[in-house]
Amino acid sequence: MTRNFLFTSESVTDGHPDKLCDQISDAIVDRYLQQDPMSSVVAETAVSKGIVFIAVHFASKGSVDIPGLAREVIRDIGYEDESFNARSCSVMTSLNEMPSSEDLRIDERELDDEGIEGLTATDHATVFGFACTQTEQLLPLPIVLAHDLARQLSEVRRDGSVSYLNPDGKTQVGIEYRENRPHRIHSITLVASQKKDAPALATLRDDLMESVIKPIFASREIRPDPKTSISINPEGAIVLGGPRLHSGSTGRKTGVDTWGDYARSSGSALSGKDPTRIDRIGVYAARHAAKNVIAAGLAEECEVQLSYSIGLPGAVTVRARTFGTGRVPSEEISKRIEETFDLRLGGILREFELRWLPMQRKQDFYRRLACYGQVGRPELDLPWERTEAVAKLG
Amino acid sequence: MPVQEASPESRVEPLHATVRGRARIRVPGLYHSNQLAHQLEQSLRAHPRVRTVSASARTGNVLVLFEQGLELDDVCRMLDGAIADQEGVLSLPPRGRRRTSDSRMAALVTTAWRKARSGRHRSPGESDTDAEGQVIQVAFSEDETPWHTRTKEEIIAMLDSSGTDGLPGERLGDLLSRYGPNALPRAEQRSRMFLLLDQFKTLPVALLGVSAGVSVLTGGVLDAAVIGAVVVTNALIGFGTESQIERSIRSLSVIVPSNARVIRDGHTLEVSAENVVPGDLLVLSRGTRIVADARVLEAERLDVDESALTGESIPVTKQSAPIYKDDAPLADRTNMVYRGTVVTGGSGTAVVVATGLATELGRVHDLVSHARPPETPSQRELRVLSNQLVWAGASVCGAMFGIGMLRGYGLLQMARSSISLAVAALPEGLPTIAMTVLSLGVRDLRKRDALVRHLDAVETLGAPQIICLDKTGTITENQMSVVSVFAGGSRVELASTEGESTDAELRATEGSASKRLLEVVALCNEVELEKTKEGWQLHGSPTERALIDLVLANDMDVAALRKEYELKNMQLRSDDRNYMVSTHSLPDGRTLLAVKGSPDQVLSLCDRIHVGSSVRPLEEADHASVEAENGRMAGRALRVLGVAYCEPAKPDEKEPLIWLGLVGMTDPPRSGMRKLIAEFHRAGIDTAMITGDQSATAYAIAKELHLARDGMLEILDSTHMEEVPPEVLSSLAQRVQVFSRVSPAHKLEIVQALQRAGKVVAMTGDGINDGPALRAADVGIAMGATGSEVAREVADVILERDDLESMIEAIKQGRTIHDNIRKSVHFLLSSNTSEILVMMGSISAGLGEPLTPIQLLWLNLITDIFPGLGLAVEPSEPDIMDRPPRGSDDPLLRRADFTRIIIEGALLAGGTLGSYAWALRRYGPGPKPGSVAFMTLTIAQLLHALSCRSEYRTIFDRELGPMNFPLKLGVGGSLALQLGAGHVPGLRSLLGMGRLGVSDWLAIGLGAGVPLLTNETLKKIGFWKRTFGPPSTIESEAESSEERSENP
Repeated sequence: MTRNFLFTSESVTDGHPDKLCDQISDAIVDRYLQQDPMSSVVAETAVSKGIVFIAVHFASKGSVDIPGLAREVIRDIGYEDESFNARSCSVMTSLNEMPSSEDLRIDERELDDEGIEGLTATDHATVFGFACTQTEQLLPLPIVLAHDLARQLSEVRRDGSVSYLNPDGKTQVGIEYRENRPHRIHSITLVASQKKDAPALATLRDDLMESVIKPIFASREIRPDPKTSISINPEGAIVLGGPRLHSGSTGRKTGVDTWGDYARSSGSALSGKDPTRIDRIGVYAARHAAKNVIAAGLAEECEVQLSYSIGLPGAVTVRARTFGTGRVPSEEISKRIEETFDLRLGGILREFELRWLPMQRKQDFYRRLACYGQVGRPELDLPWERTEAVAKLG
Repeated sequence: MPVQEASPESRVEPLHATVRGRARIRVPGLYHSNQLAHQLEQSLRAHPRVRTVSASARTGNVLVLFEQGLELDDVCRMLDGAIADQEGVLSLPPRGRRRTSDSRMAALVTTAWRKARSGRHRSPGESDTDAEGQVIQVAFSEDETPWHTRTKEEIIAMLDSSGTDGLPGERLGDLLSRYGPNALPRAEQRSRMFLLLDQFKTLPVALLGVSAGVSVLTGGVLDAAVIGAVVVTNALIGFGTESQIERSIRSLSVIVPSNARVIRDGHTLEVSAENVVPGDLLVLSRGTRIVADARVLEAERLDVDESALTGESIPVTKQSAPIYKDDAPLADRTNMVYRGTVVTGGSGTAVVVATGLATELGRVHDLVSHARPPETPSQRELRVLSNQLVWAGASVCGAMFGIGMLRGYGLLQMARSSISLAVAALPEGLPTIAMTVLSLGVRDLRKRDALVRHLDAVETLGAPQIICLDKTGTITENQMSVVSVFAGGSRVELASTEGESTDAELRATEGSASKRLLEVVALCNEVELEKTKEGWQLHGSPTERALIDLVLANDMDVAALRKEYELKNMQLRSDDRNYMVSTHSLPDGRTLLAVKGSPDQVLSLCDRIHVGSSVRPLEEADHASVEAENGRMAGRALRVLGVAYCEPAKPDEKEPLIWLGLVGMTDPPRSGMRKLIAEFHRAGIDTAMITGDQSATAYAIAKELHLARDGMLEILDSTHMEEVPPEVLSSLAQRVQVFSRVSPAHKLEIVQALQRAGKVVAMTGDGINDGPALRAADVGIAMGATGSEVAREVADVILERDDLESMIEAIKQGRTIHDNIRKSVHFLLSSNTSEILVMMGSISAGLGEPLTPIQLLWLNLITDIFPGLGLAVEPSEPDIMDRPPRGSDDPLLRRADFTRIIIEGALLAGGTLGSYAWALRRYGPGPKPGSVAFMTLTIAQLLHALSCRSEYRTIFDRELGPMNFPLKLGVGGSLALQLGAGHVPGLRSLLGMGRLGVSDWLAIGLGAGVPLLTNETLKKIGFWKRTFGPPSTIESEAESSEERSENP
């Protein structure tokens, strides 16, 4: 495998229709869990033109005004133009209230080991976790930069420094790798939507260069060099953008949610699922394991594969791969992971307190995960980003 | 006395004066001028020698009956004088000018009206309203003062009125006698004579007449007499039912007396609409029905629903500036308001320019009120069908005549037989039967407190595939009470029933958030209080009453409070502003703004919050807690209002508000509603709830009522439904059970979206804004007791008890009627087919003529009409409400039905021919075999009537229940007549019946019984495919269990 290559990752702003859907779905999960931590919820959202479609399966003691919540999310994101805004959009909700499953209503914090065994996966699932030494978050550089740019793009809109922007936006960063290490920035692309009465495209390009790209690289070792290709709205101005222009749906941005496609990620959506769903929290557990492996210095890159089987509480497969960067054999790492972490469904729930976080943190938890990545995120103090198991692994 | 020319200077023209003492005289300008007619009658009647005088604005003629001593000349002179008198007052059109345009206009409007009527019925996608509006506009811009082009001042001057004080009281009497009362005349009744004559004007009857004529020519005087009897019987029955219908229709259109608020002598008063005269100043406010055409003088966000006139369903915003365009279409004359339209929002004043028949509505009314009640769809279908059958029957008879000639029968004999067969085969009773059933249906529903407003609605009643229900007032009782208050950061739960103690916290000290909240909801409130013996009587909306109840329960004196905080201004909620603001001034000069409304909107206006007894800036956390609490209340299906206030330093400036809290109210569903919903579902009718509430509230109720047939609830939450693309809305609407946060104006969009998707839609409504939706719906249902007059007027059905239970009855009735029309048509057609086949079969097989002409006519007389009528009034079949509604475009009879009719007719004919052949073999040619065939066919047909009682149940099926009395009477009576005829000597020889022996009777029994048994067997073995399947309950259960599976 060549060790010199180019890798591109993309991120999107909170106003991107796919991310809008992810945020609505996760806001619904949050709201149910805040009222009843034992809720089970699956919320899927799609948006097109002025209509938001939400399908929710739930079993909960709580009650959520789902269209109201969706409008709140849309308003918070900042969609205000006439073609799509919180007030005038229509929300089509399809609600399927399921009978409460007693199995899932058990508080895992009060369970003994045997009880934890009783919480089993309800589906087959293979999930991946990844970590590498490229950045301090132990994530690949392209996605970290893309997120930073996206966040900054959204930030300058919100704080009014580039007031004519609309919420929809996309960023891409291409990194040239040499000897498997990021060497230079090959390209940067920003796509930003703008309001109707925005100034000329040239102004937009200057403004974004000054207020988005420059600040992000100001304090970084790796910066665009004269040969770096920087494109801002290469296909011209995008007026309004958002759902009016392109539709979106939950779970279409799993690459953005994880490591920017640098390593494998499972195809199923992370957002819109309550924490008893192993295809969501399995990813967190796998990332937690991989990050600790890297933090413990066992390898420079580590991908952890966890496979769950229906009816079984724990992972049937724990497989680590280090892509030739390992200091110990992969089998050994897999074994240590299995010994160190409780990878059972109930174990993950208990370890990360996933059902209780929205209530404990008194603000939306999952909804904030839904944008700018579900891993990394030092500002959110995510339990799966802790590296407390380093000593045990090493 | 010869017709004599009136003196040359006379403008009147005697038309008919041959009878002494009686003259019909044309008066120019009388056409269409009821005022003139009225005046002419008045002045001529004053003459002692004039016995009666009747001036008709419809014909333009005056009919005068006068005593001796008066000559035609005198009468003409009197008329001339009277006209001259009036000329000072009324501007008479020059002679001859109006005539052509008037008749053109009449034609245009009637076409438009007819179009509108038929378009109303089913035309997904295309709108007739445009065409209608257009045509009427052309018709209207003919003459008249173009009021809309004049300035306000000009008009006030022209009418000699005042823009502020209205008309002076002393001129009223004068004006009223000049312009006549502001009323539309009731529709003229068709005279009984006309009604009877109409019965003879149908194609089948005309042919019967021809037949009778030919019979006379061919020597069959007796035949002609019998044919005459048939015609008369039919006509009498038709006459009877039609006059019955006319009566019931007229009783439906009883006009509710209405009042108008006008300003006269500077005072606002309520007067009867009849007494409104041109020049009167109308006071317009939300809900006002406009009683005369008027020019707008002042308009404050004045929205008017003109759908009654223009068919345009979106309310028109009115203004007062002149429009300098003479020929502006009616809908574009935004500075005019018209009689019959309704103010849906805002307020204003307008000066009346035309009253009574001179109004735009009056013109339409005048033209259509003379029209007959419109044909219903199935009546139309039957008329077309019977005309087609006439020609089919005629050609069959022609064919029989041809075959007979080839076989060598005598010309005369064959002619007589063919004519009699044609007479027997003519389905002359079809439309009559449909009419009878419909009118009986109307009467029956009336007994169950469901008022059907026009005949064709009865048929559509059985057809809805989806019923859209208002949440408030229909599903719930519209009785609100406050159960939860969230103020100053704490929540207080209150008991919903009276008498239980409320929390002490709410009665907090002066200046606390709770106290302030109570004050604000008492002030920002339109409820009027009335002191009675039992306590306070509250008048106002349920929500506001609930709030006042809360305030009173906390021992606050609302009246005193309102006195202290004097009301300066009140801005009500509108379609685009979901809160209400009232401005009050305090004795010390301060101003208080009290605001209540949609929590989100009110909160977004606030920047401070009232906590404890102090006010601090509103923080992010406050927003979150209010939103959480709002969600929690909404989750409990509460109606939530946000309350805020401010005391602006400068009264005119807009200042951010101070948040006080949330108030949660509830309005539980009526008892028994869940069962009703289940009944709708069993009858294959989808249910959808329409509500302005948040979706969580709606969800809680929808869940409780099991609104979704498969357990999966779909909610469409839309405040701006007009922005959803129509095709998307159509596909969404079909699946949705709850439309939440919807304003009444969106109901129309919902109805249209469903109709575009091919659904037959029933819609309930009671409000002013519901009019267009009720009109557009296939079945518009007005809630009678609480409903607004507008809703009642445009609805197809009015439920007098506000009880949906009667809607179930109405649907059942509608379905039964449809069934019964089918049953009797089925019977009539199959028995007529059997007659044709017997004759044709026998003649082609060379077996001679089994039935004599007289026998055929007799058959027609006794076996067609009475059993047919009996079938038409059958009770409903037991599973009528367990099957899905018929398809929206299903004709009365489908192709499969015709096949069945022919097969059944062939079976009846087969039995008859069988016994005829047997008798022919046994007795040889002569009257005997004919008698056997005659008896067999008659009995077989009567038995077939029993079989026609149900399409899929055999006569042995117990579920079918006993026969109704009219059917028993029809079948039994006919049978008795038939058997009795054999014993009345004269009749017996006339009918050519021989004496029948035991073996003959056996053959007759077999010939009549076997077809019946065969038919019943075919039903039993399910030979006929059921077009109405059983409800798919099992299917949907299976579906829903599949839906349970997790999504990916």
